[in-house]
Amino acid sequence: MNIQTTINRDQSLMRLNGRFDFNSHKTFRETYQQLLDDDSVKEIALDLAQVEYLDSSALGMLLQLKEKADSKRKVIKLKNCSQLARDVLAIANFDKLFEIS
Amino acid sequence: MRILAVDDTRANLVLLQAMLKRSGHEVLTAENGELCLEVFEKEHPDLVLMDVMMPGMDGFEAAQRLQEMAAPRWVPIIFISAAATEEYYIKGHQSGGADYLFKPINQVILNTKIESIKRVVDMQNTLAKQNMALQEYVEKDEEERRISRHIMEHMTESRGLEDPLLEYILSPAEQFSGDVICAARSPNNRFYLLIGDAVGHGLAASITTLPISGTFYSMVHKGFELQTIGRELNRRVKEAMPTGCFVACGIVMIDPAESYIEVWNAGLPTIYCVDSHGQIVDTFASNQLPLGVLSATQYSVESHAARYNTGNQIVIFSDGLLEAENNNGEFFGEEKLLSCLMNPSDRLDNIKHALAEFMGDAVPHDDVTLAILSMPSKESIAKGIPDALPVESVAFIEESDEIEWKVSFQLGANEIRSMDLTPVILSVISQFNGLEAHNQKLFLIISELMNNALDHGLLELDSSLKSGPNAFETYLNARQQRLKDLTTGSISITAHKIRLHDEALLRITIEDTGKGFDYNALKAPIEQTQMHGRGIKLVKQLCRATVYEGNGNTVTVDYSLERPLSTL
Repeated sequence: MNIQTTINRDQSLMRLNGRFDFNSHKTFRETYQQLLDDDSVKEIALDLAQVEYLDSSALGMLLQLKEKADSKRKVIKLKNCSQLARDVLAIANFDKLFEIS
Repeated sequence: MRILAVDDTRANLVLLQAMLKRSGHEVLTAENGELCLEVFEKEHPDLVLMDVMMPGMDGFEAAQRLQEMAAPRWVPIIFISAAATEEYYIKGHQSGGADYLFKPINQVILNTKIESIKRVVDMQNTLAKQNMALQEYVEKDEEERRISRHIMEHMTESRGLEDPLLEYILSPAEQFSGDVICAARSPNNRFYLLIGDAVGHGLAASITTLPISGTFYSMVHKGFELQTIGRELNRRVKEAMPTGCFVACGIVMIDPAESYIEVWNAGLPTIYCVDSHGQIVDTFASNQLPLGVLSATQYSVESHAARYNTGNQIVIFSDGLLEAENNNGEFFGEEKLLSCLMNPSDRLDNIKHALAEFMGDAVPHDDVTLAILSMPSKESIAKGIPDALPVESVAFIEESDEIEWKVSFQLGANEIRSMDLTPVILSVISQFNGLEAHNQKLFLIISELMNNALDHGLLELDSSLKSGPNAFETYLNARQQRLKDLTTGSISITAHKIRLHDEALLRITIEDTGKGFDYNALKAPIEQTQMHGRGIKLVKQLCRATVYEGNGNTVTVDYSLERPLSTL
C-alpha cells in the first residue's frame, strides 16, 4: 500500500492506495505518526477510495490510530469509503467509533 | 590477518615472509603441499599464499584438498607462480583459488590483493556469525512453537464439540488458528456455541483467543446467561490485549427444553437460520463492536431470539470462509455459501465440496471456521428430561437440630435486575465440601425456584403466556420488559446443610415479596407436551420434599446429599 499525505492548515488527508492489510503496518504507522506529531494538525482524514482490500488487521491499525489521536485531541475521519471498505467497517460496527462518509 | 605462505624454495619463503610482516600480518609457513594441509588444520589461517610448482603434491592439488577440508567454509587462496600463462590462471581458478600473483612479487600488488581478500573474509565471517544466530533463533522458535501448540491444543475442551446438535469445520491458515470454536452444555442442558475470529492469523491471533475459551467454558458450566458471558468476554479481551487486538465473536444458545434460541453477533458475518426447505427464515447481522474495543462500562450485549422450529438450522461462520480467494483472485462469497444451504441434507459436506472445488489448489489465506447447529425435535428433548427418577418423597418439612452450616442471601430489586442470580448463589454453595458433585441438579433446583419467585412472584407473569407457537419468545419479551421496570421487592434464599434421621440433606428456602400463587393447582397432573409447569415437576422429582407455604411465596425443598447420583 502507498500513502499520499496532504496538509491544509489544521486538516490533513491520508490517501491510501492498494491493499490495506498487515503488510502495510509500517508505512501506515510512520505516516500517521508524522501527522500526530504535527501540533498544527487537528484533523486526520483517511481517504479510502483507492483501497482494494481491507482486513481485520487494518481495523486493528485504525483502532491504534484512534487511541493515539484521542490522547492528542485530534479527530479521525474515514472518507470516500468504497463499497468493500464500507462492508468491512459495517460488520465490525466501526461506525460507532469513527465518523464515516 | 593470519596468512599461511607455502613454497618449496626456502629463499622465496623468507622473502614472502618479510614482505607480509612488513605489512603487519602474522605469518605461518609450510614447505610443501602435505605440510600445508597439516599447518592449515592446526592453525586455521585467514588466507593462504600457495606456490604452484612444488614436488609431490602441487599447489593446485593442495588448494583443492584445503577447500574440501574447510567446507562449508571457503578458504581464500592466492596462487603464486612464475608461469604467467592463461592455462595456469584458469587452472588456479578451477582449483578453488581466489586470485593469482606472478613472480617476481610486487609488494604493492600483494598488499592490494590481500586487502581485497580481507573484505571478502570479513563479509564471510559476518555472514557466518549471522547465520549461526539465525539458526539458533529458528531452533528456539520451533521449540517455542511446539510448546505453544501443545498448550493451545490442550486448553480447549473438545468434548462439547462432539454434541449431536453441532457439525463444524475449523481450518487454520497457519500452524496456529486465530479462529476459535467452543461448545458446551450448561447445567440446565442449554447448548452454547461460540465462534471467535481474532485480528490477523498465526500465533499472535491465537494468543488473543486464549482468554475467550477459558472464560466461555467456565461461565457456561456455571450456568451464566449469554449476555453475562458476552460482557465478561469483552472485559477479559479488553483487559488482556493491546489496542488493535480485537476478536469478532458470535454466540448461539439453543435451549431445547424451552424451544428457545438466542443469537448474538459482534463482528462476525451475518448468521443465518434456514428451514428444512432451504429457505432463510432469520438473519442476524453483526450489530455490535467486536470484543476488546470498548471498556466494560461502555459495552452492553444485545442478543436476539430466533424462531425455534424442529429441523431448522443455524449457520454461523468466520469471514475467512467468504474471503477464501482462489487463483483467479475471486472470493468464495456469500452467494455460493447460500446456494449450498438450499439442500437441507448434508449442508456441511456440500459447503466443504463447494469450497474445495472453488479453491482448486489455492489455500485460503485466513482461518476458515463454520458451524451448523440443529434444533432438535420435542420428542428427542423429552428423553433428556428425567420423568421418572425413583423418588421417595415426603409432604412435609421436619425440623432438625443438627445444622452443619447455613448461608443466606437477600437480593433487592437492583441485584435482581442486573445479576445472573443462580450461578452466583450456586458458586458459593458448591464451595462447601461434597456439594460440587451435585452441581448440575442443584443448578436445576435453584434456577427453577428462583425463576418461579421472580417470574410469578415479583414480575407477576402468567405461565399461560408460554402456550402457543413461539410462545417462549413472547414470554421472554414480557419478562424482559417487566424486569427492566422492577424497582421494589426482594428475594431471599437460605441454604442449610442438616442431618435428619442420619441423612445429610441440603434444605433450601426461597421467599419472595410477591403476591404468591395458588400452589394447589400444581397438584394437577401435567401433560407431557405442556411446556410450562415442567420446571416445578422436575424439582419435585429431584427433592425429597417440596413444600409451599404462606400464600405461595415461600418454598422449601429438602435435597438428599446421600441419594446415589443418577445422571440426568
